[in-house]
Amino acid sequence: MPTVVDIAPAGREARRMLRSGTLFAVVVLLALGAPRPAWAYVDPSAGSIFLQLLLGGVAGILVALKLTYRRILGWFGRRDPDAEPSAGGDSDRPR
Amino acid sequence: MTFAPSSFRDPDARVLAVDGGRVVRVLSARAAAADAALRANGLLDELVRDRLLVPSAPTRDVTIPDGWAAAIESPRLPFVSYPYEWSFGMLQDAALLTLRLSERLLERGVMLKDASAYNVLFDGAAPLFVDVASLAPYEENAPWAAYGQFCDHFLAPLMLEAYRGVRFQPALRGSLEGLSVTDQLAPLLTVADLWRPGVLVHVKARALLDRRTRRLATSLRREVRRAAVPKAAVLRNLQGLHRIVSRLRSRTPSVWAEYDDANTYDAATLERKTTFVAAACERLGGGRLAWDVGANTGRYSRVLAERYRCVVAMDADAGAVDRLYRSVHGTPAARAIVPLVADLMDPSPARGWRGRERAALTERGQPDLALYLALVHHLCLGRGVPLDDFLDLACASSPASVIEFVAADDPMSQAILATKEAAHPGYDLAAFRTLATRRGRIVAETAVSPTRHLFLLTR
Repeated sequence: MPTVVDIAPAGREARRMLRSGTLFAVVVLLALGAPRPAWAYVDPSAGSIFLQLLLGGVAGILVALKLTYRRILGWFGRRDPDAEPSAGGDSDRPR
Repeated sequence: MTFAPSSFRDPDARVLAVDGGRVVRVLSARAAAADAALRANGLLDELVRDRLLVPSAPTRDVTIPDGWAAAIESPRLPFVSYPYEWSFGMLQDAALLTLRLSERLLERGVMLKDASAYNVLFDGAAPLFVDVASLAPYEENAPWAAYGQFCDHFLAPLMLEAYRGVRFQPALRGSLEGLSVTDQLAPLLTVADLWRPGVLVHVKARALLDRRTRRLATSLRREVRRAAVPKAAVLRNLQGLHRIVSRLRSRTPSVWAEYDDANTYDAATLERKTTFVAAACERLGGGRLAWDVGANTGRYSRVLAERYRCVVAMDADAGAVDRLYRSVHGTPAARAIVPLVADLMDPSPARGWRGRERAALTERGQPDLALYLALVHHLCLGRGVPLDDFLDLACASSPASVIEFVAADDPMSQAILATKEAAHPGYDLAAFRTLATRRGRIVAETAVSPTRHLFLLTR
């Protein structure tokens, strides 16, 4: 289950993607299933999972809600204490 | 106990290297439990009956190595072929098999762990899914993990040939991971291709998403892994891909696919050749494996198929192989004939991890008999192979061979030589006989035309 502390970096990531115009990528943030026993040993690229999410027609309204929720959390600077640095620069992260 | 060199990717299953050519997979504890459940509900039997899946059964007469819980055995197919040796229609049918199997499984709560084209082999001219250990329980709302692999292994190479008119075999030989949709196919397709089935979603959108998400933070990638995709959406995707793949048609021209109709033989010559090949089979008593090198329409492969359990019908021309594949489909010869895109000038090498994952063509079983009909002049006059070198190859490859010597003044030889300057000294019938008897025994010889001689050669 996602908790308050672990979603701030995801929100930050989402904003980074928003800035680069990749809103669609945030679709995944709501699609949180429980961790599953993994059988598949091939690495499904993140892109191929996003595509399946889009193909699956995940409700846009949920996307928007979740995104907004995370962005708001992000603005309040909530972050995971053991979060790793984001892959891209985030020097303009609001505090 | 050692493992087969091609089997290491799946942490839950490996193929043992067992003596006597047996195919035995060992399973982890959880895979063994899943396998037992599948067997109990009869699903595996159904799939085997419908010719989708290779038969398999638990076996007890092997020593199961430490750390593994169970062993299952499947019959060994007489010849292993790889996707880079398949024609368009073969890769297409293997793709459709994978999709059909995935659909059938998903409806029953099972999924394939991977969608590698190497999980499919050809039993004669029919594709068969052989990696029984790839079947695993479907996890509720799991995305299709092998979707990307399916596209790289099947969809992209097929699209390359259907939408760009470029043969896929060299690309697949170049990479065992298939043809990357994102890195290799997407750059070749333009805005003008967006109307083609599958391009917008499975190529362009996928490439865009892949590129945009490559640098996602690790924490986010973990979340992606847990993404929920409803089962109905996965099924829809499988069905959509099935529609797209089944509509693809090869667009590449083939020189040799029209050869049989356009060649210089008359009916009597063809009849004499057929009779000679049939008599050779009779004399040798048939066997397990035969090669027909330069098979073209497969006329003589069909003769071999009456006597040999498996006939590998090779041709360097993928168009000719495709025509052969489609023509044997549904005939009794389809049981034995494996059409194969293979060029004797450049046979498939050993490939993959430590050069042992995929065996070289010549390491996949020695044929009891090999046919080299209407081929020698192409190799020796067209490609410069010395005649003695060709005979070395023939004698090294199989204990018996049927070779058609085509003289330099034959019309087909003249066609090859028309644009060439170089002379080919030592290429004549007398030299052929001398070189052949130095290496083996000429058991039978006949002239099928003034410029063409057939030989049955044993070593």
